[in-house]
Amino acid sequence: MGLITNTRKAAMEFHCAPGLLYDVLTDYDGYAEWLPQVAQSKELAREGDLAIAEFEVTLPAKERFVIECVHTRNKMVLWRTIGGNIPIWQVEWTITPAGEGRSNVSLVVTGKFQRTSFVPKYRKFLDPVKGLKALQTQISTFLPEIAVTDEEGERILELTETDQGVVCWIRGKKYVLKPESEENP
Amino acid sequence: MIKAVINVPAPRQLVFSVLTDYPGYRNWVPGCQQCTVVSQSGHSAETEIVVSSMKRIEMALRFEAQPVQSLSFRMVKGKDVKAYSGTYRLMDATDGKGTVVIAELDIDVGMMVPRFMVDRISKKMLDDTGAALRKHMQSVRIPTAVAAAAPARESRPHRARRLLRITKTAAGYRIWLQGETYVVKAPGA
Repeated sequence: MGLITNTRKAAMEFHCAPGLLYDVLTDYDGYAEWLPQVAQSKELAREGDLAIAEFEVTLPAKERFVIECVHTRNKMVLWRTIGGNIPIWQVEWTITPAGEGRSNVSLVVTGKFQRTSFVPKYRKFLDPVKGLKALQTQISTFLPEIAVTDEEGERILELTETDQGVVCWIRGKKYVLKPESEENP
Repeated sequence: MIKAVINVPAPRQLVFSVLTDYPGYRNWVPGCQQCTVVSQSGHSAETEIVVSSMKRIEMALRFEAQPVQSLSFRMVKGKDVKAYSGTYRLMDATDGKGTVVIAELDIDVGMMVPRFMVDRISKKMLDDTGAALRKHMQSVRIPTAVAAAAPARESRPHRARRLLRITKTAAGYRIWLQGETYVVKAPGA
């Protein structure tokens, strides 16, 4: 471990159960979809509560690094960086239940001294507040009913990705869309 | 403790057998001039190893293996460094295309050498060893039975996930697209 330079932290309440948060945070192939500045993410290996994943970030130059991840189901996801020039040593997401269908997430990012520690874009990578907001956006895609509680009006079109295919609701009628190759082999 | 992750395009069982073939280290470990097994009992082995990189290091290394899981080693005798230990932990690659090795190395040179320099040398040693292992595995013939035993990726259940919703309101249209909401106002609204 290098010299620790700083610790940044933030917390946020989520309108979902801890299980959904845990699933999103341990889906390492999915981070590129939501975590700011992550261009690619890939799970390399997973065994029990340990996983290895590789991230590619654009800060703005491309930078690859590997993380070693330790999980406690529905409670905690902790990464430690291995290699790379990212000035981050450890990232800890802690999930705590906050009543029926609610959870609190705290994010603690611990830095380490690197030559990139002086580069503003690198230093700002994984800002805890932005990270939690991005997580909230990602979570909302799995919770259609929550994200639109204040919504009024006529639902005209809705697309939802499910195991059966893409479900399409148009003016109250449901259609299941299959990939073209499945319909016309 | 310095860590590195090595992607090896070979089945885990084969990678483990190469890592526990101590006399074979001469064929691929960078700078290894000799590795002789002095004693062996169960999954433990004591070896005498000579490595010549920045300086010549002679030491007795004790290896403890957990079959197909991990291999740890530590110096039990030697004068060239104060302490030398590490671990190789093996995991099946998620994409089913080989083995991911997590290598750890801890060296105490016992002299007034700055820690960051020792860490940099350790990192280079791990990276060089990883590259050498990958290269060596290309020359090792993979038995058919071992290749066939390569595990497939564990599939995980997917949750239904909304992509798009368009709602018509008195003020116009409200478009929700993957977590972001956009409002299109009707003319005159």
